[in-house]
Amino acid sequence: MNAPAKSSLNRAKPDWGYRILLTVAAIVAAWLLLMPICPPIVQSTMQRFHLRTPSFAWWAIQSPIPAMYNFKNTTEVRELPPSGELTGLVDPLWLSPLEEDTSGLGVLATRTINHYPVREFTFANGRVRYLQEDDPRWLVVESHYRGESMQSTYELTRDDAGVWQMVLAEETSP
Amino acid sequence: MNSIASPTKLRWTEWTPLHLTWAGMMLGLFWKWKFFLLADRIYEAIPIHHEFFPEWLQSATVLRIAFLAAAISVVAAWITEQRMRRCVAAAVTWISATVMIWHQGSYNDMTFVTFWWCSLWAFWYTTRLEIDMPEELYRKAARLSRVIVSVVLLGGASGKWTAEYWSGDVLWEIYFLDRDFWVFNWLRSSFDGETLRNIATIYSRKVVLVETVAGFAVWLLPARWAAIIGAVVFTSIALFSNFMLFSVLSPLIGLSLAGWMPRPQIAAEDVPPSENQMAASMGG
Repeated sequence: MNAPAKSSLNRAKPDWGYRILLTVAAIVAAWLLLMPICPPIVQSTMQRFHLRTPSFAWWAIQSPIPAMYNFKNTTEVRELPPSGELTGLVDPLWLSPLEEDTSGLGVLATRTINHYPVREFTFANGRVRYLQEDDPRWLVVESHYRGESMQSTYELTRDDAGVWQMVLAEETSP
Repeated sequence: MNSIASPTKLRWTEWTPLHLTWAGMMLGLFWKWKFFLLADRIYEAIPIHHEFFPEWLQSATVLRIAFLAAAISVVAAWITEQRMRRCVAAAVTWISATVMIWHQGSYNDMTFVTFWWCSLWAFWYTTRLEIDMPEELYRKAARLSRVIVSVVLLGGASGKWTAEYWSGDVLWEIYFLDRDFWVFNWLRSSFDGETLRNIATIYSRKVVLVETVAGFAVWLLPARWAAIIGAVVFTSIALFSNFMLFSVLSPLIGLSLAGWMPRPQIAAEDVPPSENQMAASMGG
């Protein structure tokens, strides 16, 4: 009964939503398919994972791009800063003379993580695990993909109001 | 004849694809409900200030409102009978999902990414209900469903096209070493170290291949095949990796099933008069 009415309404209203959705999906698919051969896309995605994208707007635009279990991502949670910054913080007398490798010094935990490695601190369970005390913490995250890699170090210190201040301590992109 | 009770049959209507997707979205949203409740308390108790995020996207209150608005708007869109209100409610769902994929406390949870895509599809669908002819609506909805499912699978696949996944290293470290889940517990108790490592390689390659093949193929498949294969692939990923993944995959299972195309209905004039009369007499 109402088919002709629907039909005429249909002609009157072009389906721009359908076209836009298909276009968005096509752009995302192209981005994903180009990633293995296009280092700038890999770097952009690693910056996204490390919360280091130069502008929040560009990060936000990328956020709907599916990225489940992308790259090899590792995290290292530390109660002392990474070795490069250790000078002066640790009394040499503490170090065992038989211990040649001091890289594990101050490390609370390491693990391989599926995506967005900075969530080790930002997500709820990481906050409970590592941010219960007042002592500062460092997070070293690395991502690797087809010869591309990125390392980032975050320092977290608790201010007088009880808020953790999270700062990018080191910017290394080999 | 009139006394014979006709069994109630489930009928595929214009509403069915939307209801399937909304049901999947709600299941995904509430699958980890206890965890989200705990997370809400943690974000209040242990705030982190990070200049990368705008101030309002670090607020626990904003995240709480976005989550509740997403859930309430799905229910509102489902029950309202007014077209404009339904469209507005579906738009609110999508806006809430957008806030959650941007928020400091939820950006990393892929639950909200799949929810975002499904809410976008649902919003589009509400704008075409009562405008498109059913067959036209089914056809477009099914195509969009297949395309979105393919894109999500490709998103998983392309990030794994790397030596660390082909060798099994990544999933070995994430799942096989110490993950407390029935598959990995059983494998650890049944096989020695070297065999277990080889199984991790096979498992990882299987994941890469399934996501890749499905990502390239689903959008090209006939609607019914795509609906079934999409639902089976997503269900199997959760069953054999981590039950918590149902929060990520339930919206996609709903969206896959929404792509099912009903068989074209036979027009009344094509039915022989005798059958027409019988149907009328049975209230059918």
